[in-house]
Amino acid sequence: MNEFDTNIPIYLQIMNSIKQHIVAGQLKPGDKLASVREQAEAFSVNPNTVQRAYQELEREGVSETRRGTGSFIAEKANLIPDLAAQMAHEVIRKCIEGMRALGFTDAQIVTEVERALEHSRTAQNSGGTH
Amino acid sequence: MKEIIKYQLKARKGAIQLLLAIFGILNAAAWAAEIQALAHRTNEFTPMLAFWIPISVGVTVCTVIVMFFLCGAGHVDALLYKDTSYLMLTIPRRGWQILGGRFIAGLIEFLIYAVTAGVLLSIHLAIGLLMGENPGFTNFFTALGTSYYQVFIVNAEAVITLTLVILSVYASSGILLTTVTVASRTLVKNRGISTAIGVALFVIVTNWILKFATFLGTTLDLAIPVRFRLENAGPFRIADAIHTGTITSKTFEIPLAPFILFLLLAAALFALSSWLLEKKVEL
Amino acid sequence: MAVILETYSLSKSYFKKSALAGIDLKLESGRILGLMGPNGSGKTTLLKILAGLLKQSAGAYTVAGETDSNRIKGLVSFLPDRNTLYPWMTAADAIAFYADFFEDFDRAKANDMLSFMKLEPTHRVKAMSKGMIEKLNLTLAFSRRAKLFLLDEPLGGVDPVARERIVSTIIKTWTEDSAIIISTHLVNDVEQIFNDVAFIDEGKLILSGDAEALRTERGKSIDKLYLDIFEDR
Repeated sequence: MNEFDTNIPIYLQIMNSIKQHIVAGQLKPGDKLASVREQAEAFSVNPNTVQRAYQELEREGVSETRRGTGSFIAEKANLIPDLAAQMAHEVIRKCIEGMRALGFTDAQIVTEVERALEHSRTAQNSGGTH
Repeated sequence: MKEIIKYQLKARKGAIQLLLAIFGILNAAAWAAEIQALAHRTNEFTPMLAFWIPISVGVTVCTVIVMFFLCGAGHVDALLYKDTSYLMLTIPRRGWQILGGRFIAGLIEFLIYAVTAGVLLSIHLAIGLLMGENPGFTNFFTALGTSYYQVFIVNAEAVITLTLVILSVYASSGILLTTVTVASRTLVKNRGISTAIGVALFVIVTNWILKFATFLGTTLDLAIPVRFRLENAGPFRIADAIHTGTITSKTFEIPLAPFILFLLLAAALFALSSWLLEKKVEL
Repeated sequence: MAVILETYSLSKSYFKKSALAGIDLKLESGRILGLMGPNGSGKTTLLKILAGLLKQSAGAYTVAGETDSNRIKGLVSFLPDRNTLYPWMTAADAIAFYADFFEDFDRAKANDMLSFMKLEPTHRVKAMSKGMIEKLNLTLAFSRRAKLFLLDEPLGGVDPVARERIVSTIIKTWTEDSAIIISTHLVNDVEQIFNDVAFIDEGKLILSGDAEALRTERGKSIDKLYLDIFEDR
């Protein structure tokens, strides 16, 4: 019930959750999305909120509605890579925002990111946990 | 309105059973004492009789009198002063349906008490007749049967007239009580104060009505004769009764106007209280 | 979207004070409205007027276009903050009562919900715990196919499991052609089921609007918004 951060619009969070499922492969193109009511009950949110999320997903081309049958994940060739890129860019944007707030210049940001990537590679290779 | 009657009776079921049980037990105790006295053929008033007869008859009669008013008002206090009132006032029913249904249920409840009381008291009477030497009943059922015969068959007209008269008083006093209770509830929320207001209004209005009724009775010349008489039946012989000085026929004149007034008033007050309940009562 | 409820300058005043002052609300079908405000702000007064238990001093309201107060009672399902069932009734009696008096009562649904809530039909109200009575009242209120559901503090004094069940029942009962108003203090636990929110204080509507729009606009939860509004009042 408290899975959602109530400080940001819930419909956006529902959309993100669905997009994440698509990128992770749990929802495949052509899969049917749960009905508005089922989804609302599962998330414990208002059905209108789910409806809004579905409508926005359709506007973004992530899903399509077939009259009488429901909403389905769009069967677009580049759906998953496009979504992944979109979501990645969102993560990166937040990161850049955060770093700039800490006073880093763009060049410093790139350096820090490379250093962090190096760090995680070595950690992976040694097989240890951080 | 049918459902209102049904649920009101259901709600009163427990109370009715309790009161009838009390009637039964007290009166049975009195009958036991009476039968004992009968068996010993003593005509003295034993302490047992002195205790049980007044208690049983007293409780029975007093309860019927109290219920005359409470049932007449359709137990309107339960309608207006409990949390459960929310239920009655959120159902899509008009004021007259709610009050009308409760009135009818109240009448049914009252008749249960009144008829039971009548039967119980008639049994006392029958036992009493067995004790007397004149006219000399020896069989309980003959005594009972003859009493009923004299009352309901010989005096059928009188019984019917009196019943209608009593019903008109029942209806008007009950509906008046309902109206003042609903009215005081619309004015004041506090149960204590509104009961006080209600009682005061009831007394004042009843006073006016009675004055007006008396006035009408004397001015308008509408009267109905009510005749009481007795007949030869069973071991009961009028000749013997005359011999002992019992009158066999007496006629009273009852002015009709007041009772018609009561009925008209009941109708008007019913309309008023229904309107108040629907438009003015707040919980 | 059909308009389920519309109030026009609804006011209620008693001798000394004004409980409601000129409330203008509009609620469309399929929406859930959260009515929030401190104790004594007028939430219960508003709901009672809509339910027909209080009469307004001024102003008017329509439910699904209906103005006749008796017909409105047939369209509104009110869940008060107290028990209103007769102590002598069993759960089955209560269901029969509702079925007898409300045309839109769904008996089958009520029986289903009764077992979902783990209540016995033969259990008497006077023998039930407070929590069980609340569940029964909820069952009865939601088994009606009403146009407008009014829930007065449905979550007060209820444990978290029951709270979840109540929220879940509300979502299950939601339909496209009815509307729900929920008055509550416990904003945090339920704000995700609200479409619309209205903040009321001292009988006046301080703020109302779409919950998600407010989240975007103010950048904070409805709960925090409540604190902002009422902290210094």
